[in-house]
Amino acid sequence: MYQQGFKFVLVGPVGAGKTTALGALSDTAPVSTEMPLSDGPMGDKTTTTVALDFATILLDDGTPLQLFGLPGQEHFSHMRGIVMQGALGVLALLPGDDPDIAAHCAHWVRIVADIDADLPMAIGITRTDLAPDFRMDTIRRALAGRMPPVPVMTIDAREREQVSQLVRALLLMME
Amino acid sequence: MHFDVRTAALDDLIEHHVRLAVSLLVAHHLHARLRPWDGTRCDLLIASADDAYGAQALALARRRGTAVIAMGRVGEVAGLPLVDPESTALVLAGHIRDRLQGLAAKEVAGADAAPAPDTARQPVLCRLAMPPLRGKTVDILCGGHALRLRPQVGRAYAATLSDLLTAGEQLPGSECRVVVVDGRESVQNGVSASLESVLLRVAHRIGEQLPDFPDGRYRLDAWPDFGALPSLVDALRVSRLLIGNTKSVSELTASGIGDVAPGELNACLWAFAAADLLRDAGPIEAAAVAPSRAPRVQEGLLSSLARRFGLWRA
Repeated sequence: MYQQGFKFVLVGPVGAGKTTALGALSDTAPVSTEMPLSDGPMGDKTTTTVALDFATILLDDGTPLQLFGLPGQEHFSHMRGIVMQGALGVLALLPGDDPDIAAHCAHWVRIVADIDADLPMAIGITRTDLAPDFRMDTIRRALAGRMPPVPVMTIDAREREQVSQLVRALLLMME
Repeated sequence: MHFDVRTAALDDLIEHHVRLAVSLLVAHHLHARLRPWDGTRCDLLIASADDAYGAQALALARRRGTAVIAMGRVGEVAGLPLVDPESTALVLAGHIRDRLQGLAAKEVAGADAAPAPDTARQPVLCRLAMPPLRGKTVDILCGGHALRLRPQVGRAYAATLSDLLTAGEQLPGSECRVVVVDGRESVQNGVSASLESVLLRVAHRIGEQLPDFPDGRYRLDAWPDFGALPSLVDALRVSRLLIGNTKSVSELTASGIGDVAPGELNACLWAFAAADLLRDAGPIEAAAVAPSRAPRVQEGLLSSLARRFGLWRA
């Protein structure tokens, strides 16, 4: 019988830093399916994930932990349920410089809950250094009342330790 | 009360009169430190309106809301009354006293009431965690740097990253002044950081100075944001215990926190309260209990994951 591996899944819209965060977490270079953006560059971003990002982390008991990064475009939304099946948890990376960041948070929490209501989740808000008017209260209000409360933290997706802090919060939700 | 007074573009004789004037303030129980203007924030700027550099400094200070005294002969510049440069030190002292007493009155009014003497000696972090400053929109002025704390938004602001770091470092100091400002004031210039990160950093710097957090029953309704402080692993565990769960301090101390040091717990509680995230659940308020669910992960795998990501100590 096929034994599905242990995995975390990274989700979020295009340009939020999923590929970067996955690379920061993994020990080896991830396998990526990056292609040039069809509509031209978005700022510094010139490529986007068109299928999956994938990497593994070897735990100290020899168990491989798989990391999957889902493409952000909506036309790949059919992959979400397939990849999240059997996942230990989900990390959502969302761009803090998006004026609708609070709505994004509620949207992605709903997407994950629709696939698996008990799937632990943590949200990393990236790019807040580019958003002088970023505020956390709108996000907290958008997620208020959800039990258990979803960890939401501002992080730099390029910083391994900050992404790891988000993973730690996710692990605590799994206890 | 100590004030930070700066001068710009004054000639030597006026500068000398200003120094004399500042020294006379002691008679009014006002203490001020006089330094040259360097573009950073201060309590009062005294500058020549007849000089291009002085006029520029005055304009910048006014935009920041800093009190100013403009020295000049014209009478008025841009709605700003000018003080005669040939004024005696005594006259200048009167002008300076008026401005500084105005600031002092504003600070006391902003804080709703003057803090009790024992409260005033507490670390700024403790004052922020307690009424009347709890949850208030405040500016903290430390040695020319301003740190703007906005609990309603969950962010801390400063003019520059350097100001943000410096003010955060100096926040524990007794020289800092806390000024309550209009809660509607928009702060979109400069740089910002998570409020909880700033306050947790301060709490850990001054951990030994913090009194025991008052016993009571507390909970967190939202996760504090300290993703930018990945070294604070124990703060995550404290947060997890309080998130959606009402616990007393003694319950937290006695069980469930494993090897988190009591000082670490105490620092977290003060920081979370100062960020206005810690809810006082009271003795009878029922906690909103998270639905229990079967663990998805085997204990052994969870331990391996925790070790891999530095959550548990080996």
